[in-house]
Amino acid sequence: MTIALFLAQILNSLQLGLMLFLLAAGLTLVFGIMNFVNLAHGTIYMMAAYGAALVVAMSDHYLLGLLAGVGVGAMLGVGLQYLVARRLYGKNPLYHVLASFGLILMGNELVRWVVGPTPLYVNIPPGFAGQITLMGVELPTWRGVIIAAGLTVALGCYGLIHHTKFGMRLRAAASNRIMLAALGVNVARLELAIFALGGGLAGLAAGLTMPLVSVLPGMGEPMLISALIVIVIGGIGSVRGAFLAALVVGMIEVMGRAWLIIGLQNLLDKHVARAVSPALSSLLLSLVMAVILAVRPGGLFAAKPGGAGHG
Amino acid sequence: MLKISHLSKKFAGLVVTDDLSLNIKVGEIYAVIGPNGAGKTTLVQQISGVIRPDHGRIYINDQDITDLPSHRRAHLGLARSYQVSSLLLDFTVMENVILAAAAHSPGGWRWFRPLLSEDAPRQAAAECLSRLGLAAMQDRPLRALGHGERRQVELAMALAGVPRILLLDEPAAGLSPTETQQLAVWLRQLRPHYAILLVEHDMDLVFGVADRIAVMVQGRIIADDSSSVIASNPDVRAAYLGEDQNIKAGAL
Amino acid sequence: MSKIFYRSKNAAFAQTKLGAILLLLILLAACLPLFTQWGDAPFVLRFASRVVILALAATALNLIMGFGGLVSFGQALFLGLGAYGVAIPSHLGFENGFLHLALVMLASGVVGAMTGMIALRTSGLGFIMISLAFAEMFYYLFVGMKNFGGDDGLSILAGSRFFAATLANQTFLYLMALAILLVALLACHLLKNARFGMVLRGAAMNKMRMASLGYDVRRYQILAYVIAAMVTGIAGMLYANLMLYAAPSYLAWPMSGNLIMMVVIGGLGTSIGPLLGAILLLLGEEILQRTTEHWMFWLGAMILALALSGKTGLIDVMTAWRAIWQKAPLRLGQPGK
Repeated sequence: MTIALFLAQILNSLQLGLMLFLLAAGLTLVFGIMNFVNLAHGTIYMMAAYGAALVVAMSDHYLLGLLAGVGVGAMLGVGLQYLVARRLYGKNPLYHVLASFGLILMGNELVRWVVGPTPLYVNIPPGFAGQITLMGVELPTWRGVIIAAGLTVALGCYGLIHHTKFGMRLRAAASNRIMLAALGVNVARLELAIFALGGGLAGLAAGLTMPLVSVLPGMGEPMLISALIVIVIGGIGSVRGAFLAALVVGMIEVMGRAWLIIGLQNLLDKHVARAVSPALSSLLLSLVMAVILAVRPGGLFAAKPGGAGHG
Repeated sequence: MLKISHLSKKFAGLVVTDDLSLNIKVGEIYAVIGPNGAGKTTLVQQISGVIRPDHGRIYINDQDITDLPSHRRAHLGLARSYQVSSLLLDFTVMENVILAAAAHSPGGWRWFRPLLSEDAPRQAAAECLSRLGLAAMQDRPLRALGHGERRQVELAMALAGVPRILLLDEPAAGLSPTETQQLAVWLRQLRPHYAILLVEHDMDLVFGVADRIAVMVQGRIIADDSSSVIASNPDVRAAYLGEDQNIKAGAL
Repeated sequence: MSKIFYRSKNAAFAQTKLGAILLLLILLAACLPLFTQWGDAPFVLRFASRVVILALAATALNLIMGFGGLVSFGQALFLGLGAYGVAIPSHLGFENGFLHLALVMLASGVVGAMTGMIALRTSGLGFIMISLAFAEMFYYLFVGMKNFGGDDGLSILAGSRFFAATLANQTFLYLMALAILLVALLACHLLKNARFGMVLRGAAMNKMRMASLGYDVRRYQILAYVIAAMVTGIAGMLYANLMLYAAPSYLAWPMSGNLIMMVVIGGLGTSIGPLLGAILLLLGEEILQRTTEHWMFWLGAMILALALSGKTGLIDVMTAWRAIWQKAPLRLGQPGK
């Protein structure tokens, strides 16, 4: 493998990792602060992608579609909190799993029903379709945009959590919700804001990645599972942990796949190697997670001692 | 019976147990008192195996148990009650106590025989309940019991396993004066058969039943003596009456 | 005194009545192949087999989730292992059912023990996630096994052969599955109040307390996990014989979600709940499928409503039943007092 190829792989994993972070950030906040198991986060991502893709198709303005994606995501987040999550706080996580499982089925079938089963495709906005050269590596411009946007948002999240009043309340809510309410903070509104933020970030991820993927029913679940692995590895409730874990997971998915293809080509037929390695790299990812959890049951950055949440 | 030597534990830089040593014999009630946050419950957690100490050793009958998990310690004769009642709420009183008794009765894996019809644990549990005068409520579910009754079941569960060492973490918390008096009577009855570590805030109860008293401030034992000596120790009085604890603790 | 006697007699009567009803239902279920043959409705038998087999898997899940309080979102892993435990050997030409059974028990037992030991280091959310991750891991493993069908799955030409009979025979398969399910349900019912079940349930309520009482909680949980894995493996073996096909989708998370739903719909932690849940869910799916194209949406809506209600009508019915079941032997057991 040449250096240039290696650098390209690094940038690809960075891009995937940052998108996973956008999804995982909302998930980990909701998991960590409200103790709510939101498996429907991938459905929000899918719905936002549909919203964005449909707006782009109608208006022919990419930016408008991107904003629509963020808006749809945030609105669904709010709706989820108000209509579902709020009623299930403090209950057996089994009911969280059930409720979000129901939502996944509903969401996937709804888009199949309303939009149809055929995938939607969105073009890269004109002007971003070319290549840029970064550190001597040719990189598709759009991927560069995604990386830049992802890094900006990650920095923004850091600033939001550590340097604003909202972030302070957020951190306080994670450690003691009752105390926060006693201090006169409107906890219900804070929770709505967290869901809106999480949904909006998922919508942003959807809006940014839609030219690279096909928008179709069920597209949310693979992303959800990767994002779940990210937050479990990173330590539930830790945004910083989610950031680092997202980069690690992106790295394993991209590099694992590339190296497995190369490695397996020596053993197997070329076509077989190409077909098998995506599955094996996903397997590798679950394996890494299992090893990390076996050693540190609370994840790399356990927010609470003992970590993995109890009910 | 229970010996602790040079136990230390830090949580994120905060010292909660500081080079603590103590020794409790059978037939003795050893009370640990101290202000909130002194590290009393953390001490109980370390003895029962929930929290691992950073340094120091814990012995039961000269056997080092520092690295043993909770359930192994229970089999060496250690039983505890909890500061906040920690019971199996969906079970009845009898089921709670019988589970405590069955943990120590041989019988291994009885797959299909109802636990309630196993003779040995059932007898042990019934005996324990009637000893504490709780036989009448044995079929009531825990959920239906009031706070005071739950504390009694808490004690019954600690006794049902026929332990030799009892760790009682604030057994009088939330009890009415009458219930506390009853508790004192029980503690005196239990004293000859067990080594009892009593963590308690109710000073009347402590000075009424304890043989030895240790005063704990910021993870350290600042005084450890017979209860009559402790009662007249000026430093203890100062610490306990809420004067500047930092200075006192530092001075010792 | 006479009042207690009267009551216990009444309870004994209620128990006998319930026993008679159950016996009748079992007999009816066992005679189902006759009815479907008369009525010429083989699809009914096929459907009933599916219900019985998935109820068996749900019963196994109920052991760890209903009693043990451990929400496994990866139970389908063992269903898939059971299915491939039939498909792979028969693809290679081995049709001996005993060999299949041994292979399935070994594979699900070993994988169950290994994954269980890691997964049970966590609890709550961590356990949900790691059980899901393990199932996904094996899902991708089977997707990657191109020489055994990969993504497309593997057809089974001949079912597991036990002496002269083969599980590809629909009637034989149904009766086998029904017998195994009944044994599993009875075992669960007895286990529940025996030492093993009580310790598991106690640990679900308060793990720390059980440990301080002197129970090695993890040992009980791992054992329950492995038993559940092996029983689900057997269900997978039967399922493969029903479908004559094994595919990675058997291990995928929607299958695990379905099993969870069956347990919850039927009544979490009740002995017979998984069977009721399997009947209700599969029947509901069947009816929805026939009435509307977008049945998945309505199914999702129903699951959501179920979760939001927190408890179901069925669970309430079950607790009423449970009261009769549990009180009767208790009162009889202490006539002296």
